[in-house]
Formats: sequence, C-alpha cells, structure tokens
Amino acid sequence: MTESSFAQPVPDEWIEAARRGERSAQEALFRRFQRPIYTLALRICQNEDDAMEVMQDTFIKVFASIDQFKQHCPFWGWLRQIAVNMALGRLRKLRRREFTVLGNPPDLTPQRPDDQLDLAGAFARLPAETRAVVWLYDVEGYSHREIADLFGNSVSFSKTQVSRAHARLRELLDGPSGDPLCTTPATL
Amino acid sequence: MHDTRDPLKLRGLPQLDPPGDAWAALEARMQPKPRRAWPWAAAAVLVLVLAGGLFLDRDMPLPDRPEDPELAAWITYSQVLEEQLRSVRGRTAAYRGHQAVAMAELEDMVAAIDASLARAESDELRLMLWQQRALLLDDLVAVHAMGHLANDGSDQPTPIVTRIPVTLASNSL
Repeated sequence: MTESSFAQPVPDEWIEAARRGERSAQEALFRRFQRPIYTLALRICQNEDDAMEVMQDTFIKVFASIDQFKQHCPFWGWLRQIAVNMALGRLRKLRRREFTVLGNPPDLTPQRPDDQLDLAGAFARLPAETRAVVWLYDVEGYSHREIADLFGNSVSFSKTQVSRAHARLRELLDGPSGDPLCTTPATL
Repeated sequence: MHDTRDPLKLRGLPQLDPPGDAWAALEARMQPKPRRAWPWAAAAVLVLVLAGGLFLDRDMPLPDRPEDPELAAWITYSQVLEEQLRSVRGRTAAYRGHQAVAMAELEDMVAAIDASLARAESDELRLMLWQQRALLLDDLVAVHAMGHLANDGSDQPTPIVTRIPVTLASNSL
C-alpha cells in the first residue's frame, strides 16, 4: 500500500534547530509538510480559510511543543497526528457554528443535473464527519480503532461511516439518476 | 485478507498547495504584537487579582525580567493562574473521570512547554511558549473549577475563575 503523503524524512538537525527556535529550521519543516497538511485540512474542511488556519495552528503547535516529540518515532507521524487533531477540532467548531448561526449549511453548488461528478466533487458532497473518517481510513491509512478513538466513538461507527461513504461516492460518481445531489461542484 | 481500503482511489486526488506565501502568513502570525495585546493582558491580570483577592507568590522563581511588556504580562498572568491552581487544588476531593483525564493532559502539556522554555533561545519563541502556557493554565483552572463546583454544590463558591478575554488569546497566538 502506498504510504501517506506525510511520510517524508526529516533530518535530525532540522528538529534540533527547530527545538532551539531557529526560524530557518522551522521554515524548512514548514516547506516540507505544508502540502500534506493543507491537503488534509482542505479535503476535510472543504474551505480554504479553515484549511489555512488548520495548517497554521498545526505548525504553531508543532513548534511550541517540539520537545514532546520522541526521536524513536517518525517525525511525520507525530506532526500528522497534530494536524488531524487540529482539522477535527476545526470541524467540530464549524459544526457548532452551523447549528448555532446558520442552521443547515447552504448548498452553493450550481445545479447541473446533466453532469457527472468527478471524484473530488463527489467527495466534497459527503457529510463532514463521513468525509473525515473516510479520508483518514482510505488515504492516511488509519485503522478503524484509531479513528474510533479520535472521534470518541466505536469501531463499528468508523466501519459504518467508511462503508456508507464508499456507497455514496459510487452513487454520486455513477452519474445522473434523477438524484438532485448529482451536481457539479467546484473541483478542488 | 481482502483489502477494502480506498476502492475509489481517493489517494489519487491531487495534493493541494496553500494560496499565496503561506510561510510569510505563518511568520506574521507568530510575530509578537506587544502594543495591541499589552493593555488587555494587564487588564486581565488586574481583574484576576481583584476578583480572587490574590497576590503573587513572592517565593515563586521568576524568569529573567523581560524587556518586552507583552512577554512580561504573559509571565505575570501565568503566575497568577498558578496561584489560582494552588488555591483550587486543595478544595476538591474527587473529580469525574473525564475531568481527571483532561487535567492530566493539560498538566503534561504545561510540563512539555516548561521543558521547551528552558531551552528556548529566541524571544519570539519564548513569547509564544509563555502565551501557550498561560492559556493551558487558564484551561486547567477552569477544569478544576468545574470539579470544585460539582463537588461543592451546596456552598456559595468563591468565583475562582475569571477567563482571560478570548480576544487576547486569539490576537496573540
């Protein structure tokens, strides 16, 4: 199985220098991991501003708590866990905002029932929590147990979310069938 | 075992780049903003001292006196919160499971930040760490306070938590 896009080597000297607060080392770490973090955040949150904040929050936390990182683990795994926690935290915040301010999130997708969704568009149409679960399972290689722990839920919750996501994606990708959700979203 | 992972090839979706100069944006966010935050920090400390009737512990080892007023404010605020913690810790006999877990996690994070502070060599990093430390302590006091109120519902509890304005935390981190 292909490894996560986070799985990139980091020289020990970078980590040591970042521990000393050297800006050049922090920048090197940033440049190495900005894409996987931003991609993860954007796929989960589906909003550029939120993704940007998740990425920044992740690096601020990484730099502030880099002493907690244990050298016997891969740096990318530690950093990815922080990024995932930040993205899920943002998702929870967004959900509270939707419920307290907006009610249900508006569907801004242009209605073009004659078009078939591409994969990115179909993925974007999944419910936020489902999106996060299936991304962590399919793309980042998390186990159902790990996902269950992250969400404070059961293993069967994770399995169900993944199974439903796959079914829904297939349904969306198979084209128009009178389903009003078969629309063309902006492709990220 | 049959691998049902990623049957739709989500891994094939392109990696995405953040817009603009993302490093510059992050650097700007990590820069200290002393002039804007200082009055709020001072006010927050004052409110805490007045509300709790607290005085700084003169025996507490002080870090080097910083030139930066914002850094000084965060250090002072951190010390006030530690005093608050000492005050609430003795009052509660037992906590609920999730409160105990939250407290342990927060205390671990504070300890990790202390370790980072001991090695921090730049003022920028020191400021960021002291900010984080204070915010974690603030959360820790809040968790203790919840435990205290839950355990001591019959009394009229002393207001032991005065949260720092959210604007201060979000402006400065």
